[in-house]
Amino acid sequence: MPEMTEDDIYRTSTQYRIWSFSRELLLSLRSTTNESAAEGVKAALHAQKAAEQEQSSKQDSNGSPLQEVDCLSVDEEQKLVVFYCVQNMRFADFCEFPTNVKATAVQYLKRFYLSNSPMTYHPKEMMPSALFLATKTENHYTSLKSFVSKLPKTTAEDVVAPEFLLTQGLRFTFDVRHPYRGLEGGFMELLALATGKGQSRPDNGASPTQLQKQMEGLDPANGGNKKSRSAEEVVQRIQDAHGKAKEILKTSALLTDAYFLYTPSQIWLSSLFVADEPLARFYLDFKFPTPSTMKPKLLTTLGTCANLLRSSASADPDDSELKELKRIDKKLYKCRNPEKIDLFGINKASEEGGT
Amino acid sequence: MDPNNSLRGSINPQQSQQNPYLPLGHQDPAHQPLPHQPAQGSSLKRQITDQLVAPSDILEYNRPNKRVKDTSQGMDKRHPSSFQQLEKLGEGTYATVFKGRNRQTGELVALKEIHLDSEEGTPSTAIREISLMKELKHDNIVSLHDVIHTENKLMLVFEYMDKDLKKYMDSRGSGGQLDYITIKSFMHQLLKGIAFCHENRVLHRDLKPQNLLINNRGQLKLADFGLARAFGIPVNTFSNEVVTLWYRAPDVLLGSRTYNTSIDIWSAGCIMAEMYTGRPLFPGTTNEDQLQKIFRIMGTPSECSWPGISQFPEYKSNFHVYNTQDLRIFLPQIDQVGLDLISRMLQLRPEMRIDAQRALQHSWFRDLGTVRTQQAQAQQAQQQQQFGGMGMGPPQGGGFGYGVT
Repeated sequence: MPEMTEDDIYRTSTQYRIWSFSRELLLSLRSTTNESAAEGVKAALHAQKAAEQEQSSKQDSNGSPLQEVDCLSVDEEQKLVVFYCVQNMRFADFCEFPTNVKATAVQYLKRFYLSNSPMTYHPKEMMPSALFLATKTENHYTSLKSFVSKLPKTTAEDVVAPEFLLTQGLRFTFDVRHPYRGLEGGFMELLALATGKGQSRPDNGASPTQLQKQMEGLDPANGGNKKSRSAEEVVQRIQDAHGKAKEILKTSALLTDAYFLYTPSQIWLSSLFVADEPLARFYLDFKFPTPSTMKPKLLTTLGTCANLLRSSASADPDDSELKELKRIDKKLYKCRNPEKIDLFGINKASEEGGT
Repeated sequence: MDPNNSLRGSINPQQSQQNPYLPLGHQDPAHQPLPHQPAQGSSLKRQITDQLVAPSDILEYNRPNKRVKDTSQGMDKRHPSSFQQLEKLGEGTYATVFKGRNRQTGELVALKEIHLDSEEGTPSTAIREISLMKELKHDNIVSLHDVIHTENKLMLVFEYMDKDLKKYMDSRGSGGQLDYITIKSFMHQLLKGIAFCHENRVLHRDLKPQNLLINNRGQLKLADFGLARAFGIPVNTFSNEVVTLWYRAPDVLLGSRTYNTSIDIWSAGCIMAEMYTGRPLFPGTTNEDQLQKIFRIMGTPSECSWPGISQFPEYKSNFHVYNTQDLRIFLPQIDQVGLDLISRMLQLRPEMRIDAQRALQHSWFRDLGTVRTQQAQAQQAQQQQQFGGMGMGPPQGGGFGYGVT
């Protein structure tokens, strides 16, 4: 039996099979979700109004006509979801959860809101549940009691009630593949190369010492003008790039659609591109010493992914962003589906036999 | 781990020809837009109910975008009532396993019902098992067909297997001993399942005959991933209370918390021995007794044979010193090549144990093709003997192997 390559393994993952999309498909998924949620909101409000009118018509037959509901746009939904992803990250940091728990919880929200709209289920209500579920799936289980005690104004029921909806929205696929391990591996390799302990590859003529020299001759990172002239300086440079790349993976990579569009390895390599492009190019040259058709394609993909990471919403929204978010939330107040507001009640009903 | 691997994962030549933005091929028909609940007027309420009782593992099925309003629930593949519940196969604190039949297709399934503890939401063991089983799709791993979440329970629908290995051995009527052909076939399948788990960075941690399921076609599949976990770096926080004592690796017994894939290989070695003799190789009663039973046969290790052993939490300087014995004494039926393989699996030092991939390449499996043909013939003969003319169904059984504890 031939050993599987990392590629083969990734292609068996649910992240690839179920949660990877093209940009076009992602967009169309979101607009379908938005449209059908808007229809749902309108229908529910109509029904509510009709019931009210039936009540009041016994006394007074002039009911006011139903106003057209102003629903959220796909873009507004996205902004709101991303904001609650940021909130989720803050919660996770406050609880001192490891990066994997935090990152998984954020992806749960992003995945859930591909097929659900904030107009149907408010992200504020899904957020604690997503984080709690991530503690279970990432082997960092915390008892519900201690989890709840860390969150402000949250009861145990608030956390558990949406869990079923969430697991359903996630299609019972809970495994999220992150780029962190790849990043660590890559930087271990870069550090080895910088200290002359790199392994030369059969297809790469350069000796470890030559590779080490090449690194000292690299252009400075991101338009700087000081070259790293010694092994120590190269090591320092790698550590700087590592820190930056890691930060990108903990924020931009989570808040953008990177996980839906790219593989974990593409994401960490792109973060290296953003952090220190000459170093990233050196690394790829080392990996692909001979001309191949693969390399230019990979570079194009990494370039677009790097641009996506650069365009990320801030993990620390400023005043104007917060103002916009408040506007959206206010708007949402008027276009929430009245039949889905009581998650506790819905959960209760399902527990009692689904009627 | 080879850091090169992390790069290899980034390239998919086939696909990048189509769309540079797209890391992976998306021609998969499963990637259809998600169905949504229709929301027209009066059907809305009904849809809410439907959504709550019918799990929507929708992308894996070609479900219509808009469901017909009056679809009878019994027709829905993913409603509990679409399965006829047959006899109970096992029960534990975490779940009950029933044999079941799909009313529409007649297909047999194993229904693992998980008791929901409303205090903590869905139990994390169940969540973890579902999570792993959704990723691990392999011929030698029991397949999770479906997850049904309804009322106050969660039901996992697994493919049906006839027996677990323990019951299979007991049913052979030769003191539990299996023949050479069966052992070789089962060991190969066991190692293939283990190799797949390990390649996916999953440790099973609880391999034992009760967790290996066998069907009438001679297939063996790993089951019960309730204790399994994905591993990564670091690995030093594993609890040391996992593997059933008899199949537990000495490093785990010594209190190691940085164990790795090699613990599953030790279990596989123990299982191989048991298939030859029909009895567990190291039937210990306590942690200490388990270590002693291992040392009595494999020899008591020392700093000399296992540098660093004295640093383990459970290491005792006054361990009774046994000499290493020849495994052949305990496995008189085994051939020389098989003995070599099992000795490589039952290495006291975890780093000396053969890995699953190499074990599969061991020369003992070289004649597997011939063995398979013989096995097929033997099986045919056996089935004719067992059921011939008696109009009986397949042997009853099924086990605790779906994991209920």
